[in-house]
Amino acid sequence: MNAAVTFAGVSKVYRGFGGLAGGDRTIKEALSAWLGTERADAAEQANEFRALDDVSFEIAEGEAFGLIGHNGAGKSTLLKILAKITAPSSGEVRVRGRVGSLLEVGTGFHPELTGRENVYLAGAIQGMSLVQVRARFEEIVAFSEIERFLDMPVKRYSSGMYTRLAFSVAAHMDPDVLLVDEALAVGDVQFQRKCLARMRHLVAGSRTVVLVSHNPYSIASLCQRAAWLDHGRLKSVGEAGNVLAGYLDSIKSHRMNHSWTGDEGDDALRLRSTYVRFAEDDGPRTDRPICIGFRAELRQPIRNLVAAVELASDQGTLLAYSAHDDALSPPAEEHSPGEFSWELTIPPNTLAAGVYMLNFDFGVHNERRIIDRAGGLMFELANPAGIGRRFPAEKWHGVLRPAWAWRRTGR
Amino acid sequence: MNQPQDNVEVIGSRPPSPLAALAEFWRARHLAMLFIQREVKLRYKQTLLGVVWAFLQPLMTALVFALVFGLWVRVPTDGIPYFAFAFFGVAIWMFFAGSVQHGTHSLLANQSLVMKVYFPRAALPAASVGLGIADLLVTMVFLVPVLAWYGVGVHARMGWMAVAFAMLVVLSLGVALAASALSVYYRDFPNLVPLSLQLLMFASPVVYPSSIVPAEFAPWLRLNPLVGIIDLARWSVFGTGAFPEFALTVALPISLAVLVAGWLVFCRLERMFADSI
Repeated sequence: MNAAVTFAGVSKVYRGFGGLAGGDRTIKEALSAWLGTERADAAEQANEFRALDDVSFEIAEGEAFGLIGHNGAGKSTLLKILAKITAPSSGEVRVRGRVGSLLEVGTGFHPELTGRENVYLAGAIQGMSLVQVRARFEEIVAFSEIERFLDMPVKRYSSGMYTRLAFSVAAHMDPDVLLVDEALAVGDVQFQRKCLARMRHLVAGSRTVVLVSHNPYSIASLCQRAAWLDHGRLKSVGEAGNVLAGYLDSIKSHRMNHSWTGDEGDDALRLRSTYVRFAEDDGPRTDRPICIGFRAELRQPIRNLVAAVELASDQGTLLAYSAHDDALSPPAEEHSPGEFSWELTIPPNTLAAGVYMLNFDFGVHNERRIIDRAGGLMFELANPAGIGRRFPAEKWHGVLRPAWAWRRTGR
Repeated sequence: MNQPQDNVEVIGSRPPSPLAALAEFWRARHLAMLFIQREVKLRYKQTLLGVVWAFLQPLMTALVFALVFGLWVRVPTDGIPYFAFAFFGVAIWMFFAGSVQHGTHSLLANQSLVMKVYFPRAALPAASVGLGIADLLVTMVFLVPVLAWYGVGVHARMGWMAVAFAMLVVLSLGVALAASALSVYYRDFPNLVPLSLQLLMFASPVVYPSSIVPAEFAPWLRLNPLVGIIDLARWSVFGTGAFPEFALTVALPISLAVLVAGWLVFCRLERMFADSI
């Protein structure tokens, strides 16, 4: 077995004058640092940030490899080093063959240029030769389904058309090692399916694929092996199932929490607290209502404010998304400044026993996202006596345990 | 590991050698061409005059100079009509200043690219110089009839024009490479460059001929490679005075040294662009 990618003692340290970035110095600062007039050593040590700390592992040729970890665990730094966007501070990476990355949709696209011009430019920026782009042009266009608009500037495209074309270029790079950030499965459901199929196709061919995902489930289904990064260190590496099991355990033990207080948002809206509440004496169980709520402060009047709750399984699979005005008619309303709070109730006998995650979104309808997945909560439901107790384990028989009515209609 | 190691790339903490980087840049040269195309298309999209803008700027500048220095101050020009003299100098100057100015901002203006994807970054400042070449060619189309009208005929010595032009490209590329890389690290640079260019213009024979520079200054002034380049170009077209030998003995080696230095600076800084931009 040949190694397609070898990480050998790779570390990445960011030193900052204030921020994490090393740049943005003025000549004056550089001169005084150079002359030693600025005693920056201690301060710089304090400002040091180890994004990756002595990471070593191998990825075999033709393997689908998953990378998992919390936000800020070093996953994207690792990919950036592999993609040669940034250099390691120490250690080295050996890569066999050409690396292509699907890290950001639309890299190299320019709004004023036409779709056709952008395909050529973006293809070249992502490392394809002119001949390669020409050879795949038809395929790229067909995949994106925007043939009719090829000679229109992409600034006139809908965002769906734009991402489809951009993804299409990236998906046809045909590198030896492909880096994928799963946040990329973009567009409508049908197109998402196409993207996933394309990824599977690459994995099935003897292509090496490195997949980063926040969703352990998709890593489990696509990858043979995985690595788990935690605060820049390699926590474990090996068979995907084992690595994921460890990762999921750590989430459960660390983050089971029924309330959150903090201060997130922008000038217009601050999210202060969130909670999940259960029937008082029984604790969290499937046959009791579950109340989920938040408290926030509005600092400016906002029209069409939408608050939403996202319910996901412990595997990260999105199960439900509920906005506070889903059932209101008309939905548009003006919110005036001040504190406000909302609560929703999940009726008894809806969810199966298991671990669930909640996140809160706030935004102005069709305009902007103010808060994206904040106030995260986690809870575990038990099923001591309720519906579905015959099959309590969520992973065998679905995530829902509804009390649907059965009646005999024959002998 | 019994396979040949030729396609294995090592990504380490030390930058690759400048020669390896040069080979990589050469393989991706069509990318620089596409960047040039992009800039040309963007620049003339939704403009009325389109490509005319490329020569309107040197033309108007030369007209103003002709009025101020030619008619009012009466700068001697070795017998060359002042307008033709200045238009020519201004076209060369604007190539240099434009390439350097555009090159200085080339990496900063493409931040999102530099942070998100790897490609030989030198393609960006190189495209700035390429854009200057495109502009200069357009200007030449208009400059040739002007020269013909002043009675300048075709002559064998005009072959030196190609030499002067090559030196100009070499020099501009060297300065653009260094300025683009340094601008990523020190945000003073984008401010420093226009000021330096303004001073440098008066240290170059754009509006005056080298022949009026006092003898005690001349050797110092010639350290500015633009003096040799402009003098050689002017001599090749107008043929006045003696062949400017110092263009080959002083300006040529300095221009080459600037390109080498620019490339070394660029290679040294390139790998940390994404962290610093």
